[in-house]
Amino acid sequence: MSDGPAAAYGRLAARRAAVLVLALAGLSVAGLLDVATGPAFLPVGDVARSVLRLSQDRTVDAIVWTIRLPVALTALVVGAALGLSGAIMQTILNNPLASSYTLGVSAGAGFGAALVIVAGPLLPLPESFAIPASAFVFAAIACAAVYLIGGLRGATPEMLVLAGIALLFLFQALLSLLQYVASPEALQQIVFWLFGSLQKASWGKLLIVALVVAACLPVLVRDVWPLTALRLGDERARGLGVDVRALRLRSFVLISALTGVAVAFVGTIGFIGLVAPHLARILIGEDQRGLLPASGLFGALLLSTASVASKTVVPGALFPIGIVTALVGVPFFLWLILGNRRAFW
Amino acid sequence: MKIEAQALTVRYRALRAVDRIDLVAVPGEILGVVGPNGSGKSTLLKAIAGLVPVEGSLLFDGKPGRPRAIGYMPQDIAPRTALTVVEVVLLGRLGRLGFRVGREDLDAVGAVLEELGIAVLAPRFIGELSGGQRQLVFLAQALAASPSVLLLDEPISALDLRHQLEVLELLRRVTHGRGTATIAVLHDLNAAAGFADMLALLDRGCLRRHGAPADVLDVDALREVYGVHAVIERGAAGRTMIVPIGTVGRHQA
Repeated sequence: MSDGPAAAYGRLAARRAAVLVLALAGLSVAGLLDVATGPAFLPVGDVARSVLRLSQDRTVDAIVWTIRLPVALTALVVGAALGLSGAIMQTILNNPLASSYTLGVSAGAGFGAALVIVAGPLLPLPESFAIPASAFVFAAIACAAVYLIGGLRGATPEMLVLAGIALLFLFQALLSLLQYVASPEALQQIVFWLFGSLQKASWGKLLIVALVVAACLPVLVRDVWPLTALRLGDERARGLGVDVRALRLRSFVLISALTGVAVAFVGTIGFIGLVAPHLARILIGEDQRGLLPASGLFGALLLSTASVASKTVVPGALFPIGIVTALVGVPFFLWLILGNRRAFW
Repeated sequence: MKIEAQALTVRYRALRAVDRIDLVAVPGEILGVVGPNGSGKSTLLKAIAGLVPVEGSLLFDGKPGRPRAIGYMPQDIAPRTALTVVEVVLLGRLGRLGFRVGREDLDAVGAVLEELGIAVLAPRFIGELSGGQRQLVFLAQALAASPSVLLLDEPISALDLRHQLEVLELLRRVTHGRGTATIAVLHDLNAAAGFADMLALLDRGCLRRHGAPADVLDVDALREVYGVHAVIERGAAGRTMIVPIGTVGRHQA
């Protein structure tokens, strides 16, 4: 027997590993730059020493550990959550346009946040947690509604996508209604929340997001091969022994948790969940053992880079991150899909 | 693994796509399933693969429930996905794969790709292949786990003549050599008659005939089921050869 297939597989695995290592390296650089940039630019060396607890400068330590590090790490973890959820969504719905943003999950979260801003906390929680809690709950409701409505006709990818688009319009309409009846102060708060911002980050919120992401990982690791099989179509996956319905349901729960917790604390951030999986797919293909971690890493890298850009494009000004990701994301996405010659979809 | 179906029925709302079929497929034999378009061949295969709800009895070695060791190859639909040939064939061993792919899995994939003469395609993306190449890749996927049951839906429909013969000979080798129970839906009646050990002739969801190819495919069956007037010849090695002459009356697909 020739060594052809084994050698081909070895090359694939090496390429995948190289991309993941490079993404990790890029991520470290972007993270350090994110901490370094702000109203006062800190030298990257000082930042690195402070992060590694080697710094003697208490002022730098205070800026890094109290203000900037939670923001920078939140960008990384939220970006990873959005990239991961986008990749899972595109895989189980067999649709390149699927993401939490395009299928109503982010709109559901936006409505949940706006509801608390307009009507007050639904639960006895401080506002800084009542808004994220409501956003998380409504993201989960949107996810469940997509699955249940799509499930009425067999939970096929087409039905689920159509149900998601219907939900997007529903929550956008409800959000508009809330904005219409809101006081000028509440309206301003809603609009700011919808822009998306990392400035609400704190160590406590970061811990919650990180724990949710960490809790999803073992399920994903277990499902990497069934998800890869699903890319050959439902019938082939079922023929290979995959319980496609249960896999979709499990994946929807993960998407709901990942998206819900991500947008709950930073607001609606578009394009990360759409772009990161495409970038990962072009570079390392559809084997979900590589695609999922790469989508997470690229999501983290993109959001961290956007965070740096939001602080440096106009010196002294801080742009909402959601606007930056959309402005940078659209041309980048067009370049990705138009420049890529292989037709994967 | 012996497959026994009794009164096997598949309903699509009011339509009985498979209607009370009794069938047996035994290890070491190829059962060819033939019949006109819409006669229920693919649905029968899906029913045996456990992909559609069924009524009646379906036993594998006397036990109900789909066994793991099934190699199923549906009709070709080009998947648009960034998976390479080696990854697609690896998926045939889905139940055994760990997060890290082992040497044993890669060797098994390499062996089946070599056997089908497509090892050179290993690094190519599945979406870039021709219909015939794709068919060989999915056949390799079905064979990759050395299953005890092989269910193949038109495995040679997109292949050129040489590859048709090579694949049919490989299927005979695998079936007879490993004691696999193979059920293959075939449109080419001469291929079915020449390579299957047994044939099942379906018509509008019902089993019309079941037995040795020479007993199933005769002039009467071709006229009644296909609406075709044909001459049957016995060729070399006693193979049945069907030469169609013309259509008979009006026939509805």
